Amino acid sequence: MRIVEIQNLTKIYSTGLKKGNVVALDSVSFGVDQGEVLGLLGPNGAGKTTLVKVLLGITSATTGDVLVNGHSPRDPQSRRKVGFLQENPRFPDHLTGRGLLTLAGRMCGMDASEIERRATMLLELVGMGKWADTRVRKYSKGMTQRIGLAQALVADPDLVFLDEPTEGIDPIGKVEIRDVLKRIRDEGKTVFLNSHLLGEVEMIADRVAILSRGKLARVGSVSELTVSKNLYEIEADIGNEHIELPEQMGKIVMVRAGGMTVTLEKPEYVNYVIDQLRMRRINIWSVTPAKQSLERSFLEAVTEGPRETT
Amino acid sequence: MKALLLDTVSELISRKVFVLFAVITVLLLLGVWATWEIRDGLAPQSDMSSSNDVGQLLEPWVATAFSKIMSVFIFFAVLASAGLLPRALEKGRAEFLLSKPLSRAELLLGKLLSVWLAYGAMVLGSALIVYGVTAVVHGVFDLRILLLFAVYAVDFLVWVSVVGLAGVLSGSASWAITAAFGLWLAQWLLSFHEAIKQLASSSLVSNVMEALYYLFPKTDQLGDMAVSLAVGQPVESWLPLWSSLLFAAAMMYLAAWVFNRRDY
Repeated sequence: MRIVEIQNLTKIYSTGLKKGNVVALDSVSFGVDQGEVLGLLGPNGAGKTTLVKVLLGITSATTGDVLVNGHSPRDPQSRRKVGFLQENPRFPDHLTGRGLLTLAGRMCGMDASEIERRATMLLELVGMGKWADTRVRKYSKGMTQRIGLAQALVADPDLVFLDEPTEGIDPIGKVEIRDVLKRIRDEGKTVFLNSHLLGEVEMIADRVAILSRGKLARVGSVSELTVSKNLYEIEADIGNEHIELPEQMGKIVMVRAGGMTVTLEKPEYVNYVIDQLRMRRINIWSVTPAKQSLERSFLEAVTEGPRETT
Repeated sequence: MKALLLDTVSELISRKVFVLFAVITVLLLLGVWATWEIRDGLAPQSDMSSSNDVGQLLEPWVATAFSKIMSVFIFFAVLASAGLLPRALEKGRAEFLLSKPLSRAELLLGKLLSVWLAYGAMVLGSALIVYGVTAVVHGVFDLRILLLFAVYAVDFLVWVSVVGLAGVLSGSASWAITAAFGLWLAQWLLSFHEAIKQLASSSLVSNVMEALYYLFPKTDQLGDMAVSLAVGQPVESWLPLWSSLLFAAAMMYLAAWVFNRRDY
């Protein structure tokens, strides 16, 4: 079941008469299924934060259709079971950490005893139990991120939007936050994760969407996006054989005793490589599309721009 | 609404705004003590020896004094609360509020009415302390003073609505205060609308002045009305009350309309 549905979403910011308009999102369409973790990637200024703000009704769409929990973002019902941690959060600094969670819970219509129970549990979960009664204004950036994550989860949401949740957190803290995210995922909650950290997204996300200059460049599962159509791993008894490829077909990236890795201009050229090996009576054990890192896929997507994905 | 009210009260306590009001209250109580001293000095020469007679003599004076006292309290309440809305709508903080399952109108009106209730309660509390002491010292105790407080509640609502609209439009506390000052100046000028009309040769100017007079709130005249009600005199015109209420309602509606269309 789709919990988030985005159809031809365009957002244009008007920046004044002289400067013209800025297209932050350009005909973006995709969806998020219930219970999945979607990682949203993109370079700075790609439109990631704008997209999340449109989904939450914080910013309005210029054109296009958006449904969250089956409601338009303008309808408060769309945010009924939704948690959000914004990028560079700033919370009411007169409140303590516990006070912030209480305010967030009250605004979500929770009763006092439930707020107390969830707040105590979440403060421990994000490692803020010791500073629960310290005012937010005294928190470091990392502590603010942690309390922000707790307030996003206080109403036990089904859908959580996290915009750079590990920003400003030390490496140990990042691992802890990642564990919290895994826990949320294991509880069956839907997570919409904006992050610059590709490794983080690769570890947690079921699917990844890559935005580039406001357009959706790629969307698919991590394995789909990291599979290269032109890179093949060939396991074979190559031994000391010298194998060459015609220049126009591609190149052999690596040769080793037990096989080789080739980059081909077209996927069908793999047959030529197989023929060459068989002509030399070399045993072939397997031919598999090689995986590339998410970072490489990301850079490709950002450089090449949108392409049809399966 | 309850969540926003409790948050506003919490912010009021945290920022120690009550200390400012405690200081003003103490200064006013010193004023009460001083008037007692003056009254004691005058009493032997006065024909009226009973405290009741003195009380009756002082009653209109007390009502007028409390009208001014309320203006002072409200002035400080407006100054102290002008930054609350712009602060809540700062980048990084607005997202926290706007991501909650509340409509924009609920959020804005909830915040403005919370400011009105929380700061209004502080103003009322401070005024009641001063009145209580004055009542004991001068032997003047009349529940009609509550009518004066009620009229000033409308006055405060006008200022909260103006500061709220300016806060949403500008996102700045200083602009919000400037707007309040501008309104005060405009309505002060409009209180001379009859004189200006007589001086103006153009009928257009006369008509514009007349229209503006009816459109703008009349907080000065609300003060006169409050005194009349407190001393039991008939009220000449209820126009200042209902035009001020309508103005506050229009400002809040406009603020909610603008807020609903803003991107954060």
